[in-house]
Amino acid sequence: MNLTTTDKTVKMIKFIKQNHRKMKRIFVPLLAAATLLSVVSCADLNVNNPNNPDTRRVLATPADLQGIVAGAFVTLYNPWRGYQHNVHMEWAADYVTMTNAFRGFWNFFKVEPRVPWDNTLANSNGDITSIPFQRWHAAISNANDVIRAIEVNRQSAGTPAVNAATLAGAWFVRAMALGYLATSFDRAYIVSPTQDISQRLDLSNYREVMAEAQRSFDRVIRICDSVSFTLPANFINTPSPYTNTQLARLARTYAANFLVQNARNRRENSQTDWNRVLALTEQGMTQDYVINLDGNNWQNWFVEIAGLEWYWRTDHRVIRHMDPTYPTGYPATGTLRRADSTRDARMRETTGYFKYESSLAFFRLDRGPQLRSHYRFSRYDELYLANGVGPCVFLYAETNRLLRAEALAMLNRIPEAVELLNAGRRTTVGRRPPLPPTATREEVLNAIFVERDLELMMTDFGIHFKDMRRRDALQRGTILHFPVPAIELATRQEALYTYGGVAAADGVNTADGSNSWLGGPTATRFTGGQTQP
Amino acid sequence: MKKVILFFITWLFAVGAYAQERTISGTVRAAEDASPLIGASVQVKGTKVGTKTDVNGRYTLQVPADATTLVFSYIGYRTIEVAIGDRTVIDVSLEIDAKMAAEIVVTGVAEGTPTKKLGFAIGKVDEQILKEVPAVDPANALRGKVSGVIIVQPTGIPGTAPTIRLRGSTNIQGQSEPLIIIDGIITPPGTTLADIDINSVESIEVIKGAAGASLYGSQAANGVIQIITKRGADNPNATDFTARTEWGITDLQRLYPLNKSHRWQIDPATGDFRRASPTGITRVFEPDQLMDNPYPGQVRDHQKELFKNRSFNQNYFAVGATGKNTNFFASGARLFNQGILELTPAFDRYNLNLNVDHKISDFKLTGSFRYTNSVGPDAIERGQGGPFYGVLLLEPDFDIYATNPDGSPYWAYPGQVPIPGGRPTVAGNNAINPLYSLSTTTFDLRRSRILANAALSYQILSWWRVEAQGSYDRAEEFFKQVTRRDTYNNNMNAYTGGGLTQYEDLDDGLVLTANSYFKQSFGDFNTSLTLRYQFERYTGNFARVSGSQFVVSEVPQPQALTTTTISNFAFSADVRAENFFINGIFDYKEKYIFEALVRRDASSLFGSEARSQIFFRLSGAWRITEDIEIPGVQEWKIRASYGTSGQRPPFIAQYETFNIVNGVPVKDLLGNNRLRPSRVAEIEVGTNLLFLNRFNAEFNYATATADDQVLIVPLLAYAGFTQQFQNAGQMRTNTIEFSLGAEILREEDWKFNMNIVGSRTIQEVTQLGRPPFPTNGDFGVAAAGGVANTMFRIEAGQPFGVMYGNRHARSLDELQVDANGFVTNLVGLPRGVLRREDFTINSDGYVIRRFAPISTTNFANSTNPVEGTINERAWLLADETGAPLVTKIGDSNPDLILSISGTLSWKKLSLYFLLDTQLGGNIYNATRQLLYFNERHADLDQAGKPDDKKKAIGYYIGGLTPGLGIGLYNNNNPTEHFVESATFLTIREINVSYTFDADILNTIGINFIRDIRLSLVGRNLLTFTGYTGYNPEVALAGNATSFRVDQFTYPVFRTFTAALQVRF
Repeated sequence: MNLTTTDKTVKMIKFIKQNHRKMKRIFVPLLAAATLLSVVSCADLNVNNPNNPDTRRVLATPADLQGIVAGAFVTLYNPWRGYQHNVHMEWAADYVTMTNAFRGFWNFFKVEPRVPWDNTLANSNGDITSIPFQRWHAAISNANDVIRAIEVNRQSAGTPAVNAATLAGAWFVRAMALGYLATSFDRAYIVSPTQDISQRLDLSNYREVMAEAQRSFDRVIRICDSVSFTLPANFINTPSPYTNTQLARLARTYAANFLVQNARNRRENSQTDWNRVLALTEQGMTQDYVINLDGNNWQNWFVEIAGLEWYWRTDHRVIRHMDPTYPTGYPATGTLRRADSTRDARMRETTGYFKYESSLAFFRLDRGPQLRSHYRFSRYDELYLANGVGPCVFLYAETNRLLRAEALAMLNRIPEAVELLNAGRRTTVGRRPPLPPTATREEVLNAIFVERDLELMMTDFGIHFKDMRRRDALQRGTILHFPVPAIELATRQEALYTYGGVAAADGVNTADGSNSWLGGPTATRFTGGQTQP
Repeated sequence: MKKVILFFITWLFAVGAYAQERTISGTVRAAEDASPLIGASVQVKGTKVGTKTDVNGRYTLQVPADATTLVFSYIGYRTIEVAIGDRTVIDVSLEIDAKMAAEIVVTGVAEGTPTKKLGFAIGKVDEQILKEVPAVDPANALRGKVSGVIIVQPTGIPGTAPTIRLRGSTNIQGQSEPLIIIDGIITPPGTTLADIDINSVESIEVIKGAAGASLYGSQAANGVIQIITKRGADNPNATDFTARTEWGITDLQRLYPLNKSHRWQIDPATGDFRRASPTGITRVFEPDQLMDNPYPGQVRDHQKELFKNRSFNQNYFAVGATGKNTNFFASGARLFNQGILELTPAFDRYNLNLNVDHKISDFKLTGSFRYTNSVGPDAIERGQGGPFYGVLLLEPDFDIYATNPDGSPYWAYPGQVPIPGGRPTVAGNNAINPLYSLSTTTFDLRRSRILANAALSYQILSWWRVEAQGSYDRAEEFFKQVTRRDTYNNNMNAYTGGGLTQYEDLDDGLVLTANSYFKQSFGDFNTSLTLRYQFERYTGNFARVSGSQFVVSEVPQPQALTTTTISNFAFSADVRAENFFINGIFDYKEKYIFEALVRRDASSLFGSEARSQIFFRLSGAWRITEDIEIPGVQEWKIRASYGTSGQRPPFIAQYETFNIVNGVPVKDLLGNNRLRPSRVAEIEVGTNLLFLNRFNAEFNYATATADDQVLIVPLLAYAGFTQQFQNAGQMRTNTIEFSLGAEILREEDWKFNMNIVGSRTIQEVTQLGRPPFPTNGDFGVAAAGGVANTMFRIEAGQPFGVMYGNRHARSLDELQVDANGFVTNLVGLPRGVLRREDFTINSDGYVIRRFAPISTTNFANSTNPVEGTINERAWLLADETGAPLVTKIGDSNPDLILSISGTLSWKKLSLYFLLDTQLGGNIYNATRQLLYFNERHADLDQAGKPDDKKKAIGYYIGGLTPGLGIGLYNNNNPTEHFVESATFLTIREINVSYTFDADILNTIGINFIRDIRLSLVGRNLLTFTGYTGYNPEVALAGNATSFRVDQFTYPVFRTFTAALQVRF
């Protein structure tokens, strides 16, 4: 049957008339349902996250590449915020002491004889190592993003100078992060800027990681040597932004510093490429590397709190650099005299290195007398009094001088090394007699290490620990570098392992104490009798 | 012939029918509003002859001639019997049966459904029980009343609702709190029940499992709690007034056991502690290192000085009316709870409720409006800066009321700076005077909430009804913590400058729902079908500012802070969801019941490639007693259900995110556009049994698998982004639960009802798509968690709530030996030195060595015995590397939770009680561990101990001493020594009351009052436990039911009150 449109309408009207009552009953809810559906049925379920940006928003404009590098710097320096393992390495190096059990200060790293590092998921202080490990790799990832964008994808962060600064900043972060990873852990990842990270990567050993770090430093130096620029102010919070020249000098010193500090023992130290160290330090830094701490992105907890009279104290090992007659540890009974300050002026409070504190109220005897000391580090009191806000030295220019002196000594250019040492703070501040040009290499090196302990006080990341290990001077059983953190191993589904402990003293991963500062592998701070109360 | 016979037979029957039957018709209505009751049963007594009323409440029934009585029944109404007599028209009105009405449930089902027709378990607490001891909030009201409900009050801070878990945890990482529905309004996660007044609550329904909760799809993996408030009056065509007032005090049942002795030398010249040096403040310890010396001079109990009996009261007024077409209920309530902590403000809450229902022909309009406003305290718990730390750490000889150098009250740090004229302090006691802390740091926590709901229902046809509903929910929270500018630093030589943290959180929720209900009977088959569309939108806005160092005094505002210290944080969320479901119920003669549900959820919280998800349920029940008559059994039903529900991921989970750290972006989360809600599939089987007209039993077994857990998975370090939310991991839980109600006495004067509920749940992580991880249960918020930070191990194959840590050797059998007999597995003991026989068990049951080592380097035996000397130490077991063995040391999960409640009445006097018990399960007493370190725990008190059992201080807290062992304190690492049993028995609620009813009141000439009830009420009255802390009810907030740690919290307290209720 064929119906015209009119027919259809007539039929419909008829139907409606017939079913008027019924239709009315149905019409109301249908209308309501239609209204409701029209309000919501096209509900858009795509919601943006207004709280955090994603990559698209972070890289909305080419200039944003700078922001990524700034973020990479913040990430690189993140481990200085909080007590991460630079603090713990300095404990293990018998540089600082304290009885506070906070973050495992003394119960892992200061136990004598030494015990293994608990690299399990159960260790409540496991992030001591996992935070630096993760942050440094994250910093590399940020740097790689920028390097890839500029070098591979040919994006530009701005003018040639800005672009060069951004690229140099990225390579510098990459180099630094690799340097810290190599010198702190036994293994780490080497991720190239073009690496496909959806593929599983293997860990590389610390020598390979250091080689990659050195290559990255070379890239920084090459960029700095070819383009003039000033680093954007939000890269590193230096009092004034670094120029390409300053950055190149800093890169050279750090490259040398990392190279030297990568040695795990005396044998490896002798294998260091000292010629390269010498070459790098020839054009190394001439001014202290200072970062203005702001209490937020830029912090350095280890240094900031040094001014607190009852917190860190100076281990007797360091005091003995200036007064060799001072006991290796605090006695179990009685109180201890002040150290002799006639040998080295830096023992005098007026020179601003160390301060004598009479109270041992916070140094619990039942945790071991060896943890006590009357001296604390007073070089950074001003920063402490300013609540950790203000300039903080991350690497002294003196580092470069001492590295250079050491390279000369290692290359048997003793008189030049002696000359450098005698012109330094050893004599100008410490008022020590100059070393004779006829000094032996060992005497020169010993003097250098004393200077490094006193003059580079608490700078860099575990600097004193890394010095101690390359001389085999750590106590037997002290960890020489950290295993890959348990959380990373577990994520990789690999077996957990650890280092440290007297039983594991192999001289490769764990100190054998062959040249222990206490006097050999079996030496302890105390002789005879039970010293624990 | 055939035809003749057929005709004859037909005639015979027809005549017979004509002679024996007659027709009776009539209408069945509800007494309260004369509305027709549809589907009411009309039956000839003693026969199977019967029918059901139609949509107009009408019936027509052919009854045998000898029929004398008709039985009218309708679910929720009292069954009545009516003599037929000569009548052919019989109209009846049925009265609501309060007891039976309770059997109608509205949660987990599309429409109000009698429990007898349910294929899954539902718990219900009705007003009869709720009114006995009106809890401070609905969460507390559920305690001990529904099986399978686990409730832990992690803190005593007034205004904090306890944590509720229904059956097992379904969420490895995140909350296991159930979905809260208030009168049909779905509330967003994080809704606190602390804001709801229990007096206006009619009933609470609890769906414990994922199967029952399938109706709520991706919101309901943790089960559902629905609060149903009162509507109308208690009686039809009446207006009721109720006024209730309750007054009383708070009280702390038990104090923390503390050390009353010390180990210091007393200077005979001064009678005071001997000083180490003339200028120093350090004391000199006695050579024996035993804490057995009484303090010189006056000692005080700081706990009694801090925890006081304070005021608790609540007042309530309600008016309700039920009319022909309209009923309403309005109530107002105030709860005033000062808690037990000195110097803190009370939790002061006001509630207003208005419920209105109105009927116009086929339309029914329902509206609710609920407003809550509260002001309450908060307190610094857990950490070392708060009053709960200070009160336990300060030595008992300090006068915490001493005046500070600046004239302000409460000497700030008596443990660090001696009070003039007071005693020199002990080394390193960093405790703050709790009263100073409370007087200088103040908290202000304000919440307000509006819940409004309107629904319009329209009965289009007898079998078709539609309904539209809209609800709006606004929650606002304001928090401010201010530390005064002139607050001393801990050396008391300068002021800290103070500081401030404040935040405001504003959440809005809009839920629009359209329902279509179809109901039809086909002979003995009854069917009902529901279609629902629901749109949800929640927006949240949070803004926080904090900073320190006020530049002026008494201006507690952010602008008065030093600019460089100020930090800001804001967070907004926008969540949208669109859900549809279809639900059908079919039954045959109400004895075989089958139900099916399919739901589709689409939510903005799911990854863009997983936007919609399907959930479903199938359930069935067989009412056996409808088919088989069993003597003494009134009703026996068996049922089974299988269903799925889920839990939505958190807002940020799907997104790739950079954190903005002071202006620079830093990679954080890797996005996941395939992120799905977690999915819980549950099988529940159960049975309900009513027998001997006195007993009502229920038993359920539920097994649930929670798949696709939304977990933060750490990424390999080179990924740049450090972590990602992934659907990884699976949990399994098994629960058995039972309840038994009994009407033990129902004499004229004596009545005794009792109810027992119990459950046992086993919960286990069965798969984990990431490395095992340690947690404090607070997931990502480890602030001040201390020892608890990594105690709980999330690992495949492990119970959820298992504690890991070190253990000190307790038996010589635990000592492993090498081929030469040398012990190999003790921390700090080199191999090849000592044999098993060189060790013994001390009076505490720990392994110690018999003889001290020769020296610190030669660990061989000397001739000096160890026990009782300063060399006594226990030994930690070591793993093969020599590091402390990390092993299972405890489990938070209880073996059984059981409650018994009952009402015993004699005439107008009644006694209601609720006993609550937990058997098994552990609490980690981290408070105790830290008190060891600070030499304040009673365990360290050697006074009164026999000499051969005395232990020196090093035994308790000494660090690792190679060759000797390590103190029990174990450097604040998780240690089995501090794992305690959580078993307890609590008299949770008591109410002794007397009712003066109208008869009595009339005799004294009062005729306008319905009744007056006088009660004596106790809450959390008495706890019996071996647990040594304040109360076994303690946990870190977060996931309090699975992670039980005691760490300097506000103790849970009790209240004693008297109440008066008058009804007009």
